[in-house]
Amino acid sequence: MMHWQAALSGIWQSPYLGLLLTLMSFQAGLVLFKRSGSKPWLHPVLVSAASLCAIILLTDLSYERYFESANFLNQILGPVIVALAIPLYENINLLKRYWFAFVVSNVVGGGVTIFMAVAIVYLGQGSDVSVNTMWTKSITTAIAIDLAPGIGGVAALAAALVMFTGVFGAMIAPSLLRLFRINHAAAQGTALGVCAHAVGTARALEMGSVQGAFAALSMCFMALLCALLLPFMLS
Amino acid sequence: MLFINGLSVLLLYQLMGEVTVRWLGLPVPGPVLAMIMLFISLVIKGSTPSALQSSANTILSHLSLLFIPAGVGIMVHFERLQNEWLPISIAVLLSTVITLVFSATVMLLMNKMFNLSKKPTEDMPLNKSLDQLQKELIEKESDHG
Repeated sequence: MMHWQAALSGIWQSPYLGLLLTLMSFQAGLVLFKRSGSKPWLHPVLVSAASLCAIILLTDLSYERYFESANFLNQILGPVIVALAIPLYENINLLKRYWFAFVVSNVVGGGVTIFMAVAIVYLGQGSDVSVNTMWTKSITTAIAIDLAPGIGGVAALAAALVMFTGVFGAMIAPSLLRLFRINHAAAQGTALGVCAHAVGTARALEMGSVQGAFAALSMCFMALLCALLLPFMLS
Repeated sequence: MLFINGLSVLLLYQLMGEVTVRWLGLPVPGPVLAMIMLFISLVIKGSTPSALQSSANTILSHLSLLFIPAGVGIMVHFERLQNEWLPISIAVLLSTVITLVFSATVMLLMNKMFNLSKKPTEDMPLNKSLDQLQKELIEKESDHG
């Protein structure tokens, strides 16, 4: 006699279920992303997070149980942030040569995007938590979710805002840059890195290696700048 | 083995970062300080050790997987999004469009200003124009086939 129900509930109760579902949905998302010809709105993180939300809403798998199981992925974000020092160092020659134009466009561009976003949510009568979280909108997710709780925001909202910003930025960047006739590789890369961080960097790498290097550099620089300044400004 | 060595280095640096942040009472996240420490160490050392390179490549290439659990957390905040989706969406859409064009333009302008004020020569590699860099890089790439 077979114990189907016991076997199934064994799977369902497993402490690894959340982790397994995350990995599987991410892999499915990756396949879908490649098949679609890398459409930014089909970004694997979006597809995976949306399908996991659906699973949690539709089944009796609770969010708490899911998060407990998948928390491992959250915990290794620390060493990953440390590892960002390596691409930053590898691109140090580009930074050494053009540090002035690069730093100015990052500080000015990053400042405009963040203050504008915060001001719009504040004027639109958003709650304090949303306003505080908005400060992290243009930093790469790894650092945004680390930073958000410390400045009165929420990590989950920060992750969603960062993703939304990145996907939208990567989606419109090519046509917007064409419209304004910005065909300078370094400028294209920097703009993508400032606005759309990791997703933008992936898009920039598709445009060319110079764009990719500057985008990666901007992403790291913005993250560093915000991580160093925001806690002092807001706490 | 290389991967594990590199991972140990990353974790050691993170530990140093966390300890320093608590010790000095800094509001900066520990991993961020650790990243700066590692960056400075690499600059002093002058090259990236292969162990570090291999673990960094491995974990950074799957970076986006790590954001999923935090992203799923958005379902706990559905209500907030329902109430505030309009200002939040306008803020994200508008600021992204404007900044994309704005920061690219600033970069172009800065580059032009450099060229107007100082003629780029071989003695002044710092002021070489971005166009030149781009050409150099393209040439370098085509050299490698």
